[in-house]
Amino acid sequence: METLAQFLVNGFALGGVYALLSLGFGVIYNTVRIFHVLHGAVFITAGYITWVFVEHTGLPLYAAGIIGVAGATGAGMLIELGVYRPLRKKAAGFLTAFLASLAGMFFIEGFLVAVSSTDLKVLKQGPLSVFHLGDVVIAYFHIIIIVVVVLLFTAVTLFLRSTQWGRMIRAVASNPELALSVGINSNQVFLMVFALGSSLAGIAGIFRAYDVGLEPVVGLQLAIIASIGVIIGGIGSLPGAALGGLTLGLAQTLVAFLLSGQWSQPVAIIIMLAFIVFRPYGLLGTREHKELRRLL
Amino acid sequence: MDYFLHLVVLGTIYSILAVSLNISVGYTGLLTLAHAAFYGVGAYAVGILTVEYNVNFFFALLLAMPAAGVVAAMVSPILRLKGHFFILGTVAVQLMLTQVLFNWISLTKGPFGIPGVPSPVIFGLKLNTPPTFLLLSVPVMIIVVLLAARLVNSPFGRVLKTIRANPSVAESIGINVDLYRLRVFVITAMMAGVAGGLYASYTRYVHPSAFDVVFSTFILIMVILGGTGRWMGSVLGVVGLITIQESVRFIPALPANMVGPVQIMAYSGVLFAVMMLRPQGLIGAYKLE
Repeated sequence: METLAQFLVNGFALGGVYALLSLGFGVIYNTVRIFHVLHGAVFITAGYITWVFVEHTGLPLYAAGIIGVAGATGAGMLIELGVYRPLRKKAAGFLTAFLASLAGMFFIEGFLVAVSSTDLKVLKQGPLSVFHLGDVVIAYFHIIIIVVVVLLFTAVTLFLRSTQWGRMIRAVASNPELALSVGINSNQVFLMVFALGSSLAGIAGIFRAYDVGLEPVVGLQLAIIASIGVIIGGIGSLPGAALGGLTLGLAQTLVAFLLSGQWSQPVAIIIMLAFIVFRPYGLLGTREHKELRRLL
Repeated sequence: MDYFLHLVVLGTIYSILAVSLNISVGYTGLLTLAHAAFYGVGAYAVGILTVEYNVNFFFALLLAMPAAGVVAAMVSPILRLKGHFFILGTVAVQLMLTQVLFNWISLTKGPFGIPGVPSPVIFGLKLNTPPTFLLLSVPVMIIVVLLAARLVNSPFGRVLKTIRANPSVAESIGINVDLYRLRVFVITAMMAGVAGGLYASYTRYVHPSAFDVVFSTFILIMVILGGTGRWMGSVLGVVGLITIQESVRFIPALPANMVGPVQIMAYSGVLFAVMMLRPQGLIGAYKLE
């Protein structure tokens, strides 16, 4: 019983980070229809910026964290302006955008290795402070992660449901031509979507950097995790994306408990393949989703 | 001079990889990032068979082909996917196979790799230096490249081009698109398996990290740089990419530990620039979707 509770706490902490990342990826994918591999670079940028400020200027963690999230948001908007928008203007296909994004991801990974080596960059000093609940050891930080993720998910849902910007984003996501005909500037909406998705990725990046630390290769790995979360949650569904990320976190933690940590990456992929074969519309998606019909 | 010949040997092996990947990316429109995985299966097949079971190298090289082909057939359900999902599926396969190589220790020795893969021997001549190994790798490369050229210019190749241009049209004139995709996937994996077998016997050491997703991307860059859908283009792409990679070594005052990451930056930067400026590659026949 204690081990189950312990596993749930750790799984929700990891799954919370994944949920944020998948949510950001899902917001972008559902609206812009771009497989945003550079999402991983945005994620890692936030952690590295925060680490640099904490390590070299002695700024308190929360201030450095705010700069980190702002940096991630800016990076995401820059990627839209500098990479995807010019490609859209040239009517380049999705493969071109994907390969440009993948190349950018490798470039940034190489850059980080070159300037800062492959060391793990960890924000926290010493072990996490914990409290005991019966036999279960709970880190305060994991509680913070879970609370923040719930709050952010609610905020994003409310934003998309009941603000002017949110309605515009959903309009472009469901029918770009119709949205254009009622005078919505899709370029502005896309920029907004990238800002939103990238800030979510940035927060996830800082959580990760504080909890287990960041190294350059994590960027591509977590971009893949984010996309798998969107797939198993159901394309087109944001609650699904968050749930998908959470499921991956729980599954990886379970496997790490039962077998060993090195199987955590394969298990995410096995889950994805199982979903693609048996339930391609994911946990909360619908069979009739337009995008999905194109892909299967 | 020996270093130059070493690069030529690598170039012949990479050419087999690039030409075979071009059949699936450039002719059939299957953009896969799992090619290094099948290359790795071939390399491990030769490594395990020659070291553990003392199988003759040439027989092991022949067995490396079906080994890679069988693994490709096993993961072929991903061919049901399209667009982004298919690419993601191939990335998944690639990461899985890398993990299997790392973790199936009783078979692959995991992170220790398999050292001491014997050099091939032809008529008593041991092919353990770059110039002698060229005696083997150049003919194999020529055979594979000619086979590939024959394949894409045959009726089979014309079917592939139809599938690439429009799968629905291909289906409507009675072509079994799924079956053709499966064939291409398996055939190109087998070619990659041959390249892997050569690589294992040339370096005499196989290690999982040589067959990862970064290397898959590397092969894809060679194909795209040379142009999709032109079989000679891939060979040019290999030459171009090796040139880029090696010229990084001549940057003055670059510390030795920076060479690897700067090489990654150089070739991913080239891919990025090509995608932004000329998505069909330098002499490519098709614009990517």
